[in-house]
Amino acid sequence: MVVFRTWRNLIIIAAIVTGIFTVIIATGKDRPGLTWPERILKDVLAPFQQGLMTVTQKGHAAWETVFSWGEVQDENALLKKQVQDLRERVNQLEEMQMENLRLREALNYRDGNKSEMHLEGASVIAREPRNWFRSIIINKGSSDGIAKNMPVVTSQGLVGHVTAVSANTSSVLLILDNTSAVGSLVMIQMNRIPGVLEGYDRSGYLKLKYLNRDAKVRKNQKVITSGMGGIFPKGLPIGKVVDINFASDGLQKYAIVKPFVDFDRLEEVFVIKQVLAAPGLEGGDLN
Amino acid sequence: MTRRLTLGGLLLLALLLETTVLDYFSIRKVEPDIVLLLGVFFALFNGPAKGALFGFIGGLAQDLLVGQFIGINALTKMVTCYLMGKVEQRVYKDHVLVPAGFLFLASIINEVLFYLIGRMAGLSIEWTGAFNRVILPLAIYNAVLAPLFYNLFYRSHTRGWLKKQEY
Repeated sequence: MVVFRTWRNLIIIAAIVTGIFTVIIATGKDRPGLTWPERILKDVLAPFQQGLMTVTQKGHAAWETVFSWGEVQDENALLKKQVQDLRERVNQLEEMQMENLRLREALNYRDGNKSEMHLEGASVIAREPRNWFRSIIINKGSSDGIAKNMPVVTSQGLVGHVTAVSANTSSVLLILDNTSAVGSLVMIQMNRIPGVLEGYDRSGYLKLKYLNRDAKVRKNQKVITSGMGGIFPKGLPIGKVVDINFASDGLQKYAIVKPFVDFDRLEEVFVIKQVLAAPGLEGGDLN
Repeated sequence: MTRRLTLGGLLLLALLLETTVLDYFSIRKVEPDIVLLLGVFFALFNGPAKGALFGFIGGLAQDLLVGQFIGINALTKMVTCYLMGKVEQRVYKDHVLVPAGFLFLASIINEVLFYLIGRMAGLSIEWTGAFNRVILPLAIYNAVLAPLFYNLFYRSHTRGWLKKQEY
């Protein structure tokens, strides 16, 4: 009986296994369609799978965000630093570009005046912190041949004159200073009207004084040095007339002059060490 | 009835997880086989015959979802769960390392059978690659997961919905 049962079981198992094998091999190849149990199982599970997948994907995305938070922060810090570095770099390049332009202009000026003046280029290294004087310090001094009272210019026009000299630096009193009027006689270019120029109330403008009541002074006229007074050679451009008023005594008038030089952005200047010939005066012979 | 429904529900849940969530938990492209995990647990508590039946149904459901070589999982899981059920009475089931060891062994048996039957049915898989990339990692993964779920199964089987009806 036991033997019979064992044989029977073996036959059943063999039949099942054979059956399964047949199905495995039959379904291993391409089939025209799904069988009904497959369809039912897939259809029953599909909505649950979809829901679960949506939740999983969202959870995974949230997890990824949390997981990469430190990385994102690091990246952010790095990018911020890069932005800062690049900004500094851009600033530097812009600065260099400006400097290049200024130097090119200065070089042109120097080359253009080679035959007339002996110029010494210098950089502004400081502005003197004094309330009542307007002066700057340049990086050239007596060792470069700079001496007191030498005129200082830029390619735009007159800056001032040297008032004190050390071996490697010089103080330059700007024409904006009220005390710079000493010996700086100037002319209004076309009409040859002489006057004395001085700083005007620390406004950044200049005051051209002692003009004759009948002097034909008009706005936009150019003001240049006259060569008289012993400091500035004649013909250096200074600025242009922007306003004309009568003096308090009513006998004379004065003009307000806007300088050509931008004193707020003064960085490179030239010291006129020697005048070789009369500068190319745009106003012609002043004497 | 509650027991059957619970088993059916667990099986469906396992299939759902295998086809969705577990994709995100794959390690080196290997996902754990929680239908096998369930089958082995079931066999350990219910003996070879019931274990084989559960393994067959679970495996067949997997096959139907995959739609190719239908019966291959049914056969391998049936045999594996049968063998696991055979040693049921001889082990002390309370220790947490027991399910881990069983799952490791069961996974190796199941996957080796899968490989052999697959080869016979025309699957061209190279043995070394199959063992190193699938069989061994899967066995380790299943073994690691086993203790995590074993306590739940154990409690349900002794006190909860999976407890055998006593007549």
